[in-house]
Amino acid sequence: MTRFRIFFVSLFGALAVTLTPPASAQQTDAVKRGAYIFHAAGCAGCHTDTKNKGALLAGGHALKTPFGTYYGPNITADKTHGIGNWSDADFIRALREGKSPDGDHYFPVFPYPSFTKMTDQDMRDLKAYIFSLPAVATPNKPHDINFPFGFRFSMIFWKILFFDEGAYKADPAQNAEWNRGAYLSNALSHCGECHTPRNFMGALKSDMNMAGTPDGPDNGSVPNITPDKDTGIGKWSHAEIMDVLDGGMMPDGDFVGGAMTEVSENLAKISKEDRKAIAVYIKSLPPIRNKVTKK
Amino acid sequence: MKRLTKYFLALAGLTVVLGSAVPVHSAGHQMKLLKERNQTMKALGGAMKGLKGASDTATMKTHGMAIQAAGAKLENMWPDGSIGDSRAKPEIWQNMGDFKAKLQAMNDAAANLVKVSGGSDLGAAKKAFGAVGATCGGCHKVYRGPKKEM
Repeated sequence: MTRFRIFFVSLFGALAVTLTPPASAQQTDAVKRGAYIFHAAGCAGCHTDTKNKGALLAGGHALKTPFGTYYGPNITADKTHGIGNWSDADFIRALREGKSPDGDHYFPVFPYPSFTKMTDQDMRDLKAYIFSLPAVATPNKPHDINFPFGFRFSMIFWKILFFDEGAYKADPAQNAEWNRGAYLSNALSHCGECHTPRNFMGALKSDMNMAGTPDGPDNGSVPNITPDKDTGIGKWSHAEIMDVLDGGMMPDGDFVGGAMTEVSENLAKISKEDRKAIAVYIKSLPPIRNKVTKK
Repeated sequence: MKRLTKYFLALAGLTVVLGSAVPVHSAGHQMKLLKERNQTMKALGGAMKGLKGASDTATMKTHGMAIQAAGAKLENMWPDGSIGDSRAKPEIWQNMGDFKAKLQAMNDAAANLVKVSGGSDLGAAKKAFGAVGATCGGCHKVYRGPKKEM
């Protein structure tokens, strides 16, 4: 009897060792998953100064908003100018709570009100991918914020009023595809950060979710992507929405431009199923009649 | 004919000859150009739409040739500061080398599409169509402003 026990325990042990991927393969999986999340979330867009041929994720990209011009920081694994000294917990805190490892509050130009909805695992995988990229020693450029929006401590009050911290909770009334679309749109691709108008304090107006705004980033106007038939994309099919997300082609043969070009190039890299999930979610949103006019 | 009259006539004639050779950027002239440029862009969009729905290489070749024609026209439609009420951005003239390169990328991809869709491999033609689409963002990202009304 004891010999059987020894045999089975040994067998189980042997299987456990052989079937568990070695640490390096697990790390490779995390990096692979992280790359996928990186494309869905579009980190490179705000953290790379493509205009001046800056290195990937080394910061310096200017984002003009009604509150001033913000320069995305260096998020490469450089230990002096980037986030090379950050632990996984630091990285998760930054995205979940909008706080630096020193406890300073981030301005919501960094869309942590969206990234807070990510799962811990997605955040860890994203960090693994970012840390697999070259570390670059480019110093950060200070923001150029309009008075009185530059006081970091005032973010405590902003967060109390407007910040809903926490990972996405699936809606049990909806199916898996819809919930995946909601997660992608809200937690990763953060569509609302551009497509939803903001109040005078820079918080998203939840009653105007995805309804477009003339006051978008870099003085651009952002379209209404709710399914309103006259002022939104109510006439578009799922396939037509997926085509926009897969390289930027719109139903009339025109192609998106401005900040949306990079989004469409990034989302061309995720799976067709995920693009479908986003389309399903977006088409399910309450239609809001809002004609966006650029002054 | 009196000598003075001859001189005036000669001067008038010379002005007409020289005047027609030099482009006149009057307001009316620019409006006409912008309208034509916008129509050329719309023709591009129409061809892309046709390509998306095409199910045979002959149709794709026709649309590809339309893109080539539009692209050739566009090479010469950007006189200094020709913005008006169009969506063109000043960045075009600040980076004319890059702008021209982006336009050339579209024209090269269109030429390739015409070549490939001359055959019978629909899959290859669709791929070539995709490569044309990939060039659109090159200009639209940096050189075209947002819609005035949506």
